[in-house]
Amino acid sequence: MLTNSRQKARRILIADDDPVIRHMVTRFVEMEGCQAVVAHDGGAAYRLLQSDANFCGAIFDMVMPHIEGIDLMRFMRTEKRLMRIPVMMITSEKDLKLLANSFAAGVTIFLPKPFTTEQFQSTFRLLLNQQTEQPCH
Amino acid sequence: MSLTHTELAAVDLAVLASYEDAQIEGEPDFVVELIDLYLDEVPRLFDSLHTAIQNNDSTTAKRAAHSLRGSSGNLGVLQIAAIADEFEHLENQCGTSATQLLQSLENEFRRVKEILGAERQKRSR
Repeated sequence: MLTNSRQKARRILIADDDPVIRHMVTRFVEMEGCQAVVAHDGGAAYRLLQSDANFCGAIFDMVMPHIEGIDLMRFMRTEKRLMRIPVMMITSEKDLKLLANSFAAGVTIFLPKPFTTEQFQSTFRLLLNQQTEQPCH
Repeated sequence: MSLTHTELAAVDLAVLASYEDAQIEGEPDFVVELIDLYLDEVPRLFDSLHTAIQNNDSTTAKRAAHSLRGSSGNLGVLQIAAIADEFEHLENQCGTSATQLLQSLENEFRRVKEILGAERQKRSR
C-alpha cells in the first residue's frame, strides 16, 4: 500500500476517453511520483497543449473520438515547444502497419493493452528516460 | 465465427486483485473504483453499439467495440473482451453477425455484473 505523500514534480499529460483505463493510468503515474494532468479525450489534450508545453511526458490512447492519439502526436512533432516531450501510446491495436505509422509519426514507446501494473511501470520508466536535457516540471 | 467463448472465465479475479498494489492509504478502495467505472461505462458502450448498428455506422460501432475490448481486457473481464474483439474484426459491424454478437455481449454482461457486484460487496465490507 502506498502512502499519500506524492511528489508532484514531473507533470505527465494523460489523454484517454476510457474512464477505466484513464483512472488506472492516472494512479500508476502518481505511484511513480509524478503529477498527472488528465484530458478526457484527444480534443481536450489538443486544447491543453495549445497553451501548456510544460510536460515531462505524455500518455495517449491511440483510438479516441475527435482527435486520435496519432493526430496529437503529429501535431506535437510539428510544434517546436512540444517536440521534446516523449510520448507513450497505449493501444490494443494489432495492425502492424498502424503501429509502424505511429513510430514514423514520432511515438517514443508503445504499451499494448491489456497491461499489468509492472508492464506499465517499466514502460513508463523507459519513457521518462527519453527526456531531453531541457527541464520540465 | 464463434458466438460463444466457453473456454474463458467470465472474470479473472486475479487480474483485479493485482491492482491492490495501487491502493493509497486513506483513499477509497481502488479496485472498487475500477469496478464502478466499468459497470457505468459498459451500458454506455452498449447504447453506442445499438445506435451505431441502427444507423449503419460501422466506424462508431467498431470504435465502441474497441473501447469495450480495451477496458474489459485490462480488468480481466475475459469473455466480454473476446466477444468485443470478434465484433471489432467483423467484416461488417452493422450486419446480422454484429447484432448477434451484441446480444452475446449483453447476456455476458449480466453474468459479469453479478460477479463484479459480489466482488465489490466483498471489498466494501
